[in-house]
Amino acid sequence: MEDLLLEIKDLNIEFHDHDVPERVVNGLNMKLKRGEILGIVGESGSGKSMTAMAIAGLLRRHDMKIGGEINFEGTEILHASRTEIRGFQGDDIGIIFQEPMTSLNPVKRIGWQVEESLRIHRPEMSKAQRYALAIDSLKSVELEEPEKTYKKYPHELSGGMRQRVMIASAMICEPKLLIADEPTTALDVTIQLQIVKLLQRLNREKNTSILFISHDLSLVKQLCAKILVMHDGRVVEAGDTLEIFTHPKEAYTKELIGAIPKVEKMKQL
Amino acid sequence: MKYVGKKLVTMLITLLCISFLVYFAFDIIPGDAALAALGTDSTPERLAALREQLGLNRPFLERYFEWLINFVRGDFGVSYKYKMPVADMISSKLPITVIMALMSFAMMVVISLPMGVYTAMNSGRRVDRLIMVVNQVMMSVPHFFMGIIITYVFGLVFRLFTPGGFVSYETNFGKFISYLIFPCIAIALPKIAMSVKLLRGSCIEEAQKDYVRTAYSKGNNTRTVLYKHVLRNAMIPVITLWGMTLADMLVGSIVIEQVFNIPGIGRILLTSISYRDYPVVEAVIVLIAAVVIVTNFCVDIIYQIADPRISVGENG
Repeated sequence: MEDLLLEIKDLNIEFHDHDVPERVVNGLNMKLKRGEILGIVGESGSGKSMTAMAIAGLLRRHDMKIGGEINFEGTEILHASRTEIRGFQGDDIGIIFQEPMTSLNPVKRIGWQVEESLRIHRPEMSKAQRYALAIDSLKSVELEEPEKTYKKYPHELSGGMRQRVMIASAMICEPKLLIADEPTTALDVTIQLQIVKLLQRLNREKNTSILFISHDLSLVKQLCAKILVMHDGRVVEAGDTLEIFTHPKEAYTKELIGAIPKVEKMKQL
Repeated sequence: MKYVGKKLVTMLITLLCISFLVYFAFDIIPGDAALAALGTDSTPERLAALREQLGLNRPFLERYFEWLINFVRGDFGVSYKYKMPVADMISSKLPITVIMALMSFAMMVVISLPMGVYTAMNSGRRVDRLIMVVNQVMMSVPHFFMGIIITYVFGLVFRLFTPGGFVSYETNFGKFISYLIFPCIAIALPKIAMSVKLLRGSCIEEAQKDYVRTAYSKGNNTRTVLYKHVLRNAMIPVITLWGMTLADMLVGSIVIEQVFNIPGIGRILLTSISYRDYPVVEAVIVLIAAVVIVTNFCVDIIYQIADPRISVGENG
């Protein structure tokens, strides 16, 4: 398995901030190949975001106990030093979040924020080179007038545009893995679809693996070849999207699929 | 630019109102310059003669407008009491008050900025709790009382300065500054406490926002996240406080000047009020008001630069 990018073995995450420890991720195993799009689905509190944060190295290590292994290209993220993890963050692993409205720094210009990863990971680059890459990146996420957007502040952009900016800044170093943690939840339905199509295109063009986390099964179905269904911190079912949608094995998966509103059913009413 | 022009007009109107109110207030309160100069046991004839000489018997509005026109021309009038031009009296004392305020302000910025950040980073730890207790005490002590304590402790017990001593900035600038250090500490301490508390709270609040997580996800370390992201945002409410504080220091040093026996603007103001020396009082008050208003105007501009979400330009 040479093209394996990410492998998680028996991941456990336990919160210890209360008297009774709370296990939010329980024995999670998964594999992600280069260029693959994997969807993680599940309801709120099923542990999908926690898994994403653990991979991105964003979990605060105090107040919680983390067990298992997260192998990213031969580096074990859970036990790596902070410095080593910072080397990955923004360079090999990009992440976008659920809240496009608040995920950008309100007092910094868009261009500055898009270029930030370059300044950290490519310090040898000149200002002009960074500018050119930032404009390219803004273009690639289909933002109109990238030169104008470059000079704007976050509050001057809509939610959909801000999420595109987030994608542009996560993709600027051409990471091997893009984690999208409910990237469309806060957006309108039409914009959700545009973002999904954009992720699909970026995956095709740059061969970036994408970990797409969502509770919206219909979006996951469109985007991901493989999915992982989570419930209460456990993986309930994993496999090819088509297989799972046509022959769900577990009761919980059936329930989730049954919850997707269908046009035919609505017509009958 | 349109904003600046609009603001300038408002500033002028405000100053006009202030000057009128002060002139009016001194006209209706009992006692006038003639009475103050000659005393209550003087004869009515002598009082009338002096009033005639000072122009006090003319109608109020006539006197006000004459004064106003001269004031705009730069002629602040002649002091009733000292018989010298008001402009000369003020110009020699103004630098003392302004330097004192600026020194206190600089002290506040230089001390509260690192301290606020430090306590925020160590919030909940013993150092932080200790600093916050000291802070609370400093905040509750008014600056004139702080001045008295400082005079006693540093002046009388440790003999670090001579209480009541003063050297003019014209004779020896270095000595002048050294005499101002302790009064400035008295002015700055309560303000330092306030801005440390505000900055600490603001930093802690900002550190929990989503954009901080984004900053970490790009590979920033704690220091760069703090200085490049959190601090810029956390400074926004602090800038407002500092702006108000600077104006407050310029005006509020009047009291401290009394405690430390410093012959600044405050001294002139207090003596001229008791002598009903209108030209002096008017000039000093309009001057102080102008300083406060200009300071506020500058803060508005800085605020707009600090927080791009606030646009005073178009709809302000």
